[in-house]
Amino acid sequence: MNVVALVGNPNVGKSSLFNAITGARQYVANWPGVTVSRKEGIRRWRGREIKFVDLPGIYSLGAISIDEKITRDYLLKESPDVVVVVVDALNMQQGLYLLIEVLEMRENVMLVVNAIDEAKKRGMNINKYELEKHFGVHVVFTSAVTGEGIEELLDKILHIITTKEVHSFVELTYQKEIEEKVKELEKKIENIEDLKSYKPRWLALKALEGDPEVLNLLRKFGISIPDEESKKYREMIAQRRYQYIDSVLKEAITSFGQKLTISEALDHVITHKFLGIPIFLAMMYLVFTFTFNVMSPLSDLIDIGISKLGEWLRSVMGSGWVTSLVVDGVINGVGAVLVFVPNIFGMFLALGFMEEVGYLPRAAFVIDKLMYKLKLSGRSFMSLILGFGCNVPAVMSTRGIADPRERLITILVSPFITCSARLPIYILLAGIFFKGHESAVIFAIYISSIILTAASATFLNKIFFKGQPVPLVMELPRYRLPSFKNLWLYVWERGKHFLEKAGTIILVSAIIIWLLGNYPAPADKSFAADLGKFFEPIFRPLGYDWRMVTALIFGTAAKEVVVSTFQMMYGDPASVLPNLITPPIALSFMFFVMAYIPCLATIAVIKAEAGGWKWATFSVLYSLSIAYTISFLISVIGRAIL
Amino acid sequence: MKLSEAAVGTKVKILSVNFPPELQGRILGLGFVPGAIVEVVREAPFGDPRVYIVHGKMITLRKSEADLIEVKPLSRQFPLSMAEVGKRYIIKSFLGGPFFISRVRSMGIDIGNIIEVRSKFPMTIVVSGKIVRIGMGMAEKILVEEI
Repeated sequence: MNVVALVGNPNVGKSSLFNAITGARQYVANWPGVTVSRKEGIRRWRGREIKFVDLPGIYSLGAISIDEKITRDYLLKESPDVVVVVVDALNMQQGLYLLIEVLEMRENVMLVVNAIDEAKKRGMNINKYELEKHFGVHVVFTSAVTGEGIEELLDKILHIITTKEVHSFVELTYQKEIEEKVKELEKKIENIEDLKSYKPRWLALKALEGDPEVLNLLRKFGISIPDEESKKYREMIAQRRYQYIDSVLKEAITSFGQKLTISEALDHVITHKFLGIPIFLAMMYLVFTFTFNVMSPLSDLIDIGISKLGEWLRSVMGSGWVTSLVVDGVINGVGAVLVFVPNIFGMFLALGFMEEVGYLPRAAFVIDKLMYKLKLSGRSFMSLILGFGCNVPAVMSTRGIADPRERLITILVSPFITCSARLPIYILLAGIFFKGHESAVIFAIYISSIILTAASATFLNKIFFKGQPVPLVMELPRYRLPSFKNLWLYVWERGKHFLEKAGTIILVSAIIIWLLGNYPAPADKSFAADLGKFFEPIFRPLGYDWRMVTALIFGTAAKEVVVSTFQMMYGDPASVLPNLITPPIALSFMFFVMAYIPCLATIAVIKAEAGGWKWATFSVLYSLSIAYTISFLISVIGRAIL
Repeated sequence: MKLSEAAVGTKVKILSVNFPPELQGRILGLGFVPGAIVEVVREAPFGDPRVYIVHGKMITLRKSEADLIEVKPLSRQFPLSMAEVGKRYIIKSFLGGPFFISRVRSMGIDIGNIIEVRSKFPMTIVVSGKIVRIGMGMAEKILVEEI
């Protein structure tokens, strides 16, 4: 099968293009660094099957962060039949820089200028033939939104695959000093048998640029470049590339429309010196209000539906252990979680909207000064924000973070970001103990979760790395109108995960909990009771009932299971719980749930991403002790006040 | 001068980029190359980081990173806040309103004066033999030209 690789800067619409070509349903975020690993899809075109590989977006072919490495290694080691470099029509410079780098590395390259519809709207006129002439590649204009140019692109790809003809070959010549050095190095490299698989000119240029990997490789053969020289050459090479790009674009682009007018006006307010932070907080509050107040009626409907279903099943099946298993175990256990589906979808809808329009990088920009204090950057802020949905993708997305230190810290603190699975517990308890103030209480928990994350980051940085700051170099993308299709993809992809969990791990847990809760005898004499009572002494200072302890233990499988356990143990938590515990204890419990052990899936992904059990174990013990300390304080203070 | 010292709203030209090797490639790739023109767009709450436009892209840099990029003002006239210590300048115009102008005049600063910058943080200048201390906000509204 023929293979085509898509390469480009972050946020140029590579993933949209990939979706448009392969018909895949991959969510496309409006912030850089979404594609952290490569994605593959197949398109059948004129009787041929072509495999498309979507590589992580990068700015240069260096090899610092993991996403850069993935892309570069793929281009070096795999041999795609065609490499398609995708650039943004409104801002081609950085993309063309990457094109030059790719062209120096390999031959079968073509260029796609995406978002051509937006360029036309702004009265921008791009001359395709100038681009073809000066870069020596085939050029296709596309729009992933309108579908324009996709067929032409597929035809061009097929043309390159069948004829191996990639237009003409244009080689960018550098300054005289560089070219002389390149010639000299090329001669040495050509004589070395082991380096035959590389293009000598590429190796020579990379060596002059001081690329650590290439230098390591060449050092084995006695070739080296002093640091101070490579610093100078690196600047000269980059400068020449941009000079060339500027001169080509001067000829290729004939009319400039007005640029960035709406974006600028919006940015002026949203990232304003004084208004920026209040706007950020207001946005977050809106997200929560939307999640709770607007979506609650739907939750109530589902709740009624589930209890009606239970009643009906009971009347049909009669009494007996099977009925109890089905109704008390499965229907109530899974139902307790399903009730919160509207809230969770609501939160994703609100968060998705903010991402879609391009607010997130701005939020990162606005609060960066705070992140800097924590020795993190706005980039890790964006990973952490993902954690509000689920900690697993948050940990995965840290692959885009260049600095290994920052990456590890981000991985270790991200479980403190309270994920959507914990939301049902807050909603349940806040609804029982803090009626009328649910939004405020839950907002407070979320804010605390952010503060705890921040404090942890500072603390861990201090003890492990003596706190060096991390640089922030981030692109602010254009604002865009959210597309319903994309927004729905966002909500569905994340929400689906929650539904899948309800059908698998939560269903299984519900059955296990039912068994443990009913054998050898129901309630007080069950295994679940033994388990809860065994650990209860540890939690006595916190004021938790043994059933709450049991719920916490089961909750490590998936945090929603805490709610299922409550449902099964208490029957009707809303009427039973207020007799057992006071509001401060309930609050203490909510905080415990917020901070304690990451769920099994998160522990597994921490192990995979941070490299080994060491950090996963650390994460478990660390979060457990933090949770205990905070909840202990809340319980003690709460008791003292009441 | 450093990119971090360029005032919001001004344009500067890059002279050299001095990042550590691991980051240098990405910075150059983004378009921060010698000779490129950078516009300082705005600053975040608390004054850091700031947004710059280089080669058509909006990029955020912190002060600590913008410190590593050496630039020079693009126009002959630039705000006094971007002036260098020890050099002499002539005052060309004021950006503030009548209230601002009367205030600087009362400090003995006027168009056509030749000044010398003594120190930058805080900003002190020598104007007609007198040493005057002025705020950075004020210095941003006084346009000067090097002599």
